[in-house]
Amino acid sequence: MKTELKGLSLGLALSLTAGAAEAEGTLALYNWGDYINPEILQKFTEETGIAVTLDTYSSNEEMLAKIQAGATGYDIVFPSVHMNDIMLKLGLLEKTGINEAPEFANIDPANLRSKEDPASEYCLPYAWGTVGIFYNEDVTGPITGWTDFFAIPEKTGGKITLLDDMREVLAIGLIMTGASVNSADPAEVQAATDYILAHKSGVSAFTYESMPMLTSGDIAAAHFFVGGNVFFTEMPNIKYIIPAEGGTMYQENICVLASAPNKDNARKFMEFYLKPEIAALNVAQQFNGTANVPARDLVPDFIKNNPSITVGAETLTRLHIFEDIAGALKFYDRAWNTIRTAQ
Amino acid sequence: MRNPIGWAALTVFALAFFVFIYAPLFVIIGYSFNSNPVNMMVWDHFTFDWYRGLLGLADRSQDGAAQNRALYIESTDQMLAALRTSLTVAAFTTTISTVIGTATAIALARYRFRLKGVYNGFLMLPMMMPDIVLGIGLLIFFVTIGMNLSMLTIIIGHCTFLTSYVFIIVQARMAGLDPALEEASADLGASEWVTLRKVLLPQLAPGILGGALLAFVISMDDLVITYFVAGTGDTTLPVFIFGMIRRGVKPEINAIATLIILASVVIAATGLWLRSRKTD
Repeated sequence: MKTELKGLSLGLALSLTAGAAEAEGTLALYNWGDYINPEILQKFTEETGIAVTLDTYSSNEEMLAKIQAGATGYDIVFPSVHMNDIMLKLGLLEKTGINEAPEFANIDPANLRSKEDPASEYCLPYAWGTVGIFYNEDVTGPITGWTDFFAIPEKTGGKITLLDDMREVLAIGLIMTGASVNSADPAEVQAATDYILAHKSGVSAFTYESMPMLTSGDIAAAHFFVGGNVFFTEMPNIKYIIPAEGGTMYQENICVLASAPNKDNARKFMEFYLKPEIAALNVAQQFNGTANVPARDLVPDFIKNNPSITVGAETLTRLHIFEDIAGALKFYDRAWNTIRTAQ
Repeated sequence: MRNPIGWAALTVFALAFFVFIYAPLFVIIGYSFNSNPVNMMVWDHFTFDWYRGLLGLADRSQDGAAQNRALYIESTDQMLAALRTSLTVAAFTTTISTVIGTATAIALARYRFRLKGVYNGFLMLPMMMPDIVLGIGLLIFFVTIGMNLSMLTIIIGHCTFLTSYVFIIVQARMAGLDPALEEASADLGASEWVTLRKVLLPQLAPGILGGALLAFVISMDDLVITYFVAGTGDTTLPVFIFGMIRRGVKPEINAIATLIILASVVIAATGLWLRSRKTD
């Protein structure tokens, strides 16, 4: 089929599928936007001669929709842990046996979070990070958690923002009402919704664009990913904390698709990423955590010495990770609509 | 007599309208010269760095400022590749959809055949269909017939709905034409082909050009359909920018947007100049 079409459209197809000739030497990554250090891809190509293409998506669901509809050509995807589980159940992923690679010993067992793949036979932990509070200490004074955070507008007149993300925002309510961030109990989700609604009047916006606003002084505090620290290496008055009451964390894994055309190259990429210096290269640019234990010593001091970025075991107990909530998604959706539309 | 108050109100309204339309563009142009690498909303100082980077003139490795920018996510090459993809796709889709759209408009206006009304209706359908439905539909179609996703599938996908746009614009122009001119041409012995070239197409030209420009712009702009039917390595500029949402949009985007605005102005000005020359 494909060759026929190529024949029909001659020059067009030739120019469009340029590179297909070297099919043995390619690898197609499908990753979140700006979620990998381009230097890693460059080094991988230098070392192995495999040409890498990188395409991007902006959410797990977007990626799943495309793969599930049957889009092929991609070798590696980077789903969050709960999406990793969903994709495994749907049979979309390929067993790689990466846990038998010699350098797999570098991986912290605590980062093997997939329920469907507890031994890492399929996927490799890629990166993880926390979601917490950024605040401008000059305006708010020291704060420790969500209670202080929601008190900022009334106490100081400063503005606060939350992420424009259903699970993240409801997680705050669930944590503050003592429930699990993966609760499937409608009553608990309702209580969480009520908590957020009770504090909504002080929230200026639900947005991902809070970091520029924090720098310029338009807002006093924001709910954001640890990666936001990249903006504040030279602004000591902007602090990042993991809330005392608890926060959330995320982790993405490197998975090979069952439909991957270059499975061997994909496996080579996974092995390449097991090298501490490569994993550290990603941390230095992405400002998040790595599952690679020796890599943790190789990261820049700003990251290594900040207990909110490089979290200790004690802090880790306060962090919750999202799981697939399947059917409960329906009333999460409803709760989120209520929150977004309430006056 | 004109009412001075009404006139003043109208002037203010018109000015406000233009500010509303153009202010965002000027903000983008302004910030494209901001040297702040991670936070483009905070003015640092004036720089051409982003333009130099886009044009491949920046010496990234030895630049002292670049070292400070270790934090800044360097993905200019990816963005340039995305821009190249977008321009290639737009060039092909514009050509194809303009030819098909124009031909269809002429056929439906000048010839009688069965089910004409049905064709007319069906041509409107892709325009009215939500992008997401068309995107998923196309993806499933391509997968079903076993066609690999590539730049070709993006072009086919865009042509399915851009043809409708061109058709509608050319059809509007067509409706205003006097068929008597073509009849006269035929009476004077011109073949159908000559009539098409010498009589019909020159009269349709503004409509065809308008349709082509619209098709080009929409193709450059499309996110949803492209997302679904793009193959590996065929990320277009809108898809690339959308993917950056979590990390915040980067300063090069301002520079690239400014260059695109500049290119549009040049194209529009050239078009106007060519037209004014003809009437002389």
